[in-house]
Amino acid sequence: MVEDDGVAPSLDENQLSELVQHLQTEEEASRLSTLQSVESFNLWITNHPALRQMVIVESVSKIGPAILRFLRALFGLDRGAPDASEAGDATQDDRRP
Amino acid sequence: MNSNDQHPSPRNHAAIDPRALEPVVSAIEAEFAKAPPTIAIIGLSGVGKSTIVNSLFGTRRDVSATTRGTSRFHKRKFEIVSRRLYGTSLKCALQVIDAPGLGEDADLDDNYLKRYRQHLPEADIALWVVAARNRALALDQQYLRRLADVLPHVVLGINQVDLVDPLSWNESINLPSKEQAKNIAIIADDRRAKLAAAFSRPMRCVAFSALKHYNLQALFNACLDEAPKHRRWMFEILKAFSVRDWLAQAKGLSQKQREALESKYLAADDQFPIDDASRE
Repeated sequence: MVEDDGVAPSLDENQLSELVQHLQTEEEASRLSTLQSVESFNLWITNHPALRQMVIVESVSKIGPAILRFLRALFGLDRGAPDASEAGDATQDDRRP
Repeated sequence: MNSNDQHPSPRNHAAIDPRALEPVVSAIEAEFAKAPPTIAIIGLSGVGKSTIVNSLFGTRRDVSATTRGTSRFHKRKFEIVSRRLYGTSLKCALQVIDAPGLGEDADLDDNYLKRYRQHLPEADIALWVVAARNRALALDQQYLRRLADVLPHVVLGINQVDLVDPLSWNESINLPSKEQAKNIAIIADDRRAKLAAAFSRPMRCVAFSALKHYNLQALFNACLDEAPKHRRWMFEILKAFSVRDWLAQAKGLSQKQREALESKYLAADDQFPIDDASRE
């Protein structure tokens, strides 16, 4: 159970349960997409004309999901998602409720 | 089985030596340069196409964009350049094909559709977007019929579900209210049936809100499923969102509560200590 720190309004049990359920669903979906992508990466690397001969390929294939996170870090892509104000630019959406 | 059971813990990856991976990294860069992952995003003006691409891939942060085409048909290449590593910059790119003005002018639409026909075969993923509140689907149906033969992989995205009646989005937990959820399910069934009939094939369909970061992962997974198997990893590398972004918008949670939930239910954000000294 999550304790309220008294700063924000508390959620009732039903709301909290609904939130946690969605959180778990999203997390599981994220895990599945990572696994699928790792499989895809291994497929690419083991069929790559230059890489498939190299010893490193075997090691990379054994690393698993961490390899994608490592590559993201290496490419400088792990700097966090855009903040809500960027992601939710209502003017771009041309939202007309 | 948990994925971490199969593989060494990411936390133990001091073992990954970037230098040993140099040939792999070079090959990745070459792959991104030769054939960047490409997403075609199709939908009438105002359905939030730019916001979706930005939410999924963060195309508004540290990127340079080059646009080819007319002002209202874009084939944009977002080049993402990292800090320098071993004296060289790492580059990867995302290509986005879209026509922001589709549906605004029937005369121009003919041209946009021709351009889509020309470029769609290059796309790994085609995402067709409709706005949840829009019941007028005639143009979408018509355009889907005209593009069906060049659209091998398509996902139907129903955006802006937070605006579905009775406009009672639960801001406390950043989820639709019960009434909204029922209406969203009805809308999703209806739009999928009508557009799949026009497409003459079944379509994957995801109802989501790019603004609220709601169901973005489901949308991403649906897109990934439709992408060629050997290229899915490229999209994963460029993915710029996580469930944390959705949780951050749940206004009924304090920071402390949010952190407790993240710690209990979400996998840790693994940090890889890439030696900064090797970056210039």
